[in-house]
Amino acid sequence: MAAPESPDLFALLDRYERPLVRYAQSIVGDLENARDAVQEVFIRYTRDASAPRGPGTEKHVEAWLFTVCRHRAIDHQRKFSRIIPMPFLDDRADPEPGPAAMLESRDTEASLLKLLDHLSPNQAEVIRLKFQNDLSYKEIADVTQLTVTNVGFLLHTGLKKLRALVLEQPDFSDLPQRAVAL
Amino acid sequence: MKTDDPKFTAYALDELEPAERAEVDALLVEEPALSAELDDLRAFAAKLRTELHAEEGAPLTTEQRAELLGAVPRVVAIPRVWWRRPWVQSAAAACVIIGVSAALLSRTQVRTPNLAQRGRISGEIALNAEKFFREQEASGTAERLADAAPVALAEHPVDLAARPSAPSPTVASNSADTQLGLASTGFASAEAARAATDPRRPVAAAGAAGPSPEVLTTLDDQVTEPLSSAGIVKLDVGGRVLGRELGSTLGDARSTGAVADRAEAKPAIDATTLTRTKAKKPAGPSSEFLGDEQRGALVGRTRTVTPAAKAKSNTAQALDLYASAPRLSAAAPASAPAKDGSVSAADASQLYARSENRLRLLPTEELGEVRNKREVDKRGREDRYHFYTEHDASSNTEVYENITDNAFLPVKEQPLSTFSIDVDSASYANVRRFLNGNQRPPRGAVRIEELVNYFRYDYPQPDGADPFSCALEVATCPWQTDHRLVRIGLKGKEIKREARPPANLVFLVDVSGSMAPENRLPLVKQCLRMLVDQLTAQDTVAIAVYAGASGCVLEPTSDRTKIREALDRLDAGGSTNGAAGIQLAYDLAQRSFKKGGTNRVILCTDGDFNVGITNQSELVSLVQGKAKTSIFLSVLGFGMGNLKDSTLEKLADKGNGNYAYIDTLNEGRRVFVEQMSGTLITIAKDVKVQVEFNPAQVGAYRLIGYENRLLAKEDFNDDTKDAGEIGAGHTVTAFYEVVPAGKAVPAQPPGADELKYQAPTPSSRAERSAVEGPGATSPALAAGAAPSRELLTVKLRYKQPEGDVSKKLDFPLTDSGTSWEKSSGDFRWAASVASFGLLLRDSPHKGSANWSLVEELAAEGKGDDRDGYRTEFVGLVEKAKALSR
Repeated sequence: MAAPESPDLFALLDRYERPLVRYAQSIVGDLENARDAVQEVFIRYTRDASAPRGPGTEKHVEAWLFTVCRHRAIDHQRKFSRIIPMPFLDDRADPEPGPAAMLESRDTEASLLKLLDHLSPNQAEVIRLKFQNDLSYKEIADVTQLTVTNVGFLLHTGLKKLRALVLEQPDFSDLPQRAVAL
Repeated sequence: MKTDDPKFTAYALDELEPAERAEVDALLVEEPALSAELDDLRAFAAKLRTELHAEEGAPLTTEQRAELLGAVPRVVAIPRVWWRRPWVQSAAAACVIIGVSAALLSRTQVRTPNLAQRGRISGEIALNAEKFFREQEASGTAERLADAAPVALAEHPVDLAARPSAPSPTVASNSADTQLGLASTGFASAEAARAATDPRRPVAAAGAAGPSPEVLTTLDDQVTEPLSSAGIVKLDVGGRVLGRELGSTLGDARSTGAVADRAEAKPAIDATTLTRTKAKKPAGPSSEFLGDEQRGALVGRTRTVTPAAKAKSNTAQALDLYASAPRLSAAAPASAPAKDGSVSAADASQLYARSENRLRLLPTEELGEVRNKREVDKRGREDRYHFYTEHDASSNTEVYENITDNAFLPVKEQPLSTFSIDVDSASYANVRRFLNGNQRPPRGAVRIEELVNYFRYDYPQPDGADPFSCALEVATCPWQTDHRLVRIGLKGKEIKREARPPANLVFLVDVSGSMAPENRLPLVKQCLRMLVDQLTAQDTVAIAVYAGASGCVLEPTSDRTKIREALDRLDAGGSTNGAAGIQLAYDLAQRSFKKGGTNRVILCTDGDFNVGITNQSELVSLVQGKAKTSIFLSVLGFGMGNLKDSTLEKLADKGNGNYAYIDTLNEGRRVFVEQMSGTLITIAKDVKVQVEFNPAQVGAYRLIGYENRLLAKEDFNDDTKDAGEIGAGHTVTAFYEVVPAGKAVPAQPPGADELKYQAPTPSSRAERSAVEGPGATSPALAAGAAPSRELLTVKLRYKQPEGDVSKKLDFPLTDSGTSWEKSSGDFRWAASVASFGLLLRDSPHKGSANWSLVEELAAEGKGDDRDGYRTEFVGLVEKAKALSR
C-alpha cells in the first residue's frame, strides 16, 4: 500500500499552510488546534488517492484542501468544546492582556477583521473564503456545502452588515460614508 | 434591480453569469445612483480584501512540517535491472550476514522486556555492522559496497526480502524485535541500520502467508506484559510495529511502503487469532465493550455465528487498539529519545491509520485523532468508544465494513434462529442520501432489515388481546429459484389518533454550535413544530436544551402557542454539556408524568451527543433505568454521518425507544406526522422472534439482515434480555431464505473440525455452544419430534409496555409451494427491497439477483403507493443501477 506520490507536498505546504491555518483558526479559535487540523489535512492529502493532484488541478486542490480543512476544524472544535478545562489556580498569570498588548489591540480594535466577529459565523466564513482566500462563489459553495445562491446571499448580507458596522466606527473616515439601508 | 439584491453584490464581485450580467449592465446605464453604489461596494470589497489578506496566518510548527514531510515517501526511480548489478548482490549478502548476526545476538537477550535495554542491544548490532563494513573497506573491495548497500536496501527492501536467502520466519521475528531499538538508538552508522532493515521483511512475509504458529508463538512470548487476551497481543504487536515506524521517520529515506506492508501483515495474523480466542474467552478484557446480546451471541453460537462474531470481535479489537494508545505512546518516547511525545503520538496515529485501513474498520482521519489521546486518557473506556466513533460525512467510505451477511445454517445443527425485532429505518434514509448524492453507499451502511422496514405493508390488523399480528408467507426465492423465501410480517395494532393516550413529551435539543447548519437545528425546529401541530390540549410538552449549560427552555405546558414560541427561540451556539441535559429532560418528564399515557424524551442531535464529564456507560445505564420507570427515549439523528448512529442506536435501544435519521423535511413528516402514533406509542416491548425449522422440510436457512440483532437461543425465554420495541401501526418484516431438505446447501463458512470423540449428533453442537447458565432452558430439538409437514414455527415473545413478564405466541407455517409470481404484492415489494439491499451490499448470497429483478419485483409489488415512498424507491433503484455501471 504505497501512499500516493506527492513530490509537490513542499510546494503545497508553502502555498497553503498559512492560509489554511488562518482559516482553521477562524473556525476553532486557537492556534494549536488550527495547526493540528491543518496537519491532518495534509496527512490526508498524502493518503487519499482520490484527492486531486497533478498539473492543471490547482484549483481543485485548493478547494479540496479548504473543504477537508473545514471538516477537520469543525470536528476539532466539536471535540474540544466538550473538554472542560481544569480550573486554574491562583499562581497563574492574569489572563487579561498586559498594558502593551492592550495598547496594541486598541489600534486594531476597529479593523475590519475585528468587525467580522459581529457577523454570523457563516457570513464571516464566506467573507473570509471570498476576500481572504479569493475563492469563487462556486468554490465556496463546494467547501461549505451550501448552494451557490446561498453563498451569494450570505456574502451579500454579510457585506451589507459589515459596511453598516464600519459606518458606526469613527476610524473609518477613509471609506465612503454612504448610508446603507439594512 | 435593487442594491438589496444578492445579484447586485455578485455583479460587483464579478460572479454573475454573462446573461445576468448584461441585464445589470443595462440597468446601470439607466440608474446612475446604482452605479455610484456599485463603486462604493467595489471600493469596500477592495479594502476588505487588502485587510483580510494582511492577516498573517501562522505556519505549522517545525515538528509538524518535519513529520508531514517524513510521512511522504520520496519518489525514487527504480532501475529495471537492478538485481543484475553486482554491488546489489554483495549488499544483499552483507545484509544477510548482519541479519543473522542480529538474530543470534538477540536470541540470547531478546526476552528482556525493557525497551531501552533492547535499544542498547541493537546499538551493539549497529556497531557490529559498522565494524563489518569497516573490515570490508580494509579488504579493499568494499568502499563501493558500503556506499551501495544502503541505497540498494533503501530502494528495494521488498525485493530483497523476497530473495531466497532470507532467514527463516522464527529467526526473523526474533531479530525484528531487536530492530525496535536499532532503528531508534540514534545509531552511528546509518548504513548498518539500513542494511539491517532486511531481516524484518520475512516477518511480514510469514504473516501474510498465513498465521504461522511459530511466528505467533514468538510474538506472544515476547509480550512485555504477559496477558493472555488476544487483544493485548495485538497491541503489543502494534507497539512493536510502532517502534519500527518511528525508526523510519527518524530520517531514513527508506520507502514507507514497506512499513505499511508490514503493518498490513500484522492484522492479518491478529484477525485470525483474535476471532478464535475471542470466541473462546468471551470474558476477556475486551468483551466489556460488547453489549449483552453481542456477548450472548459470542458465547452461545461459537460456530454458527462466526461471521457475526468476527465482525464484533473486529470491532472490539479496534477498540482495544485505542485503549492501548496511551500505552503505546508511553513506549514511543522511550524508543525515540530524540523526539518529543507529540511526535510519537502522531506517528502512532499514522501507524494506526495504516494498519487499521487494512481491517477496514475505521476511517483514516478518525485515527488521526489518536493524537488527542492525551485528553481521552482522562475518560472512561466506554466514553472513548464514543469519541472514536465519530466522523464526518465526507469520510463514509471505510467505516461500515463490520456487517457480515448471515450465513446459511444447517437445520440439523442449528434448528433455532433467534433475533430481536427492529423497526428502525435509519439505514434507508442514509442509503437514500448517498444515492441522491450519486454515490454508492458503503456496504456496511446498508442494513437490509432497515431498508425493508422502511415501507409499510398491509398485514392484517391484530384481533383479540395481542398487540400485534403475525403474517407468514412463503414462495420461491426470486434470486435463487431452488430456495424458498419465507416472510415473517408483524403488524402492531393501529391506534386511532383520537384514541391516542395523552402524551407527555420532553424535547431535548442539542443546540451546540455544530447544530447550526440548515439541515440540523432549523430542521429540528421544523420537525418539532409539525409534531406540536398534531398534539391536543391533553398533551404536555417541555423543552430542554443542552449547550454551554443545559437549561430548561419551556416548563411542561399544554399551551401550543407557548410551545411554538419556545421552539422559535432556539438557536445554535456554545459548547455543550449533554449529561446534565438528559438528566434534566428526564426530571421534566417525571414531573409531568402521565400514568397510562405516553411519557417520552425526544432527543434531537447531530450525533455528537456530548456526555460531558460523565462517561457513556453511565449515560446508558441512566437511560436504561429511566426506561424501567416507563419514560422512553426517542433518538432523532440529524445531518450526520452514519457511524455515529451506533451510539445513538445504542441509546435508543437501551431506552426502549426508537431511532430515526432525519435528512429532510419529508422524512421528518414521515416520522412525526404519518407515523406519529408509532413513534410515540409503544405497544409492546422486548419483542423477540425465534424460528424453529423442521429438519424434515428444511436443510438450511439464512436470515436476511438483522445481523446486529441476533440473539442466543436461550435469550428468547430470558425476560431480562432486552430486545426491540414495536410502536402502534408499525410493521416489521423479516425474510428467511430456506434451502429445502435434500437440496445442496450453498457455500458455508468454514466451521470447526468434526469432533474426534463424539459422533456429530444433531444436538451436540447446539449443546456445546449453549451458555452454562442454570436459567437457560433447553428447548426441545426437532430430532425427536414426529415428522411434520410444517416448514417452520415462528415463536414470538413480547411484553406489555409497562410489564415485566413476557408472553409467547406460536405461528406454524406449512409451505404450499407457491411461486413468487403468485405471491402477494407486499411479498414481492419486500423481496424487491431485500434484493436491492443484497445488491448494494454485494452480498455473497445475492444469487441471481440483478437490477432488472429488483425493478421487476418492485413494479409488480408497488401497489397503489398512497404515500409515494415506493415510487421514490423505484427512482433510487434507477440511480443505483446507473452507479453500478
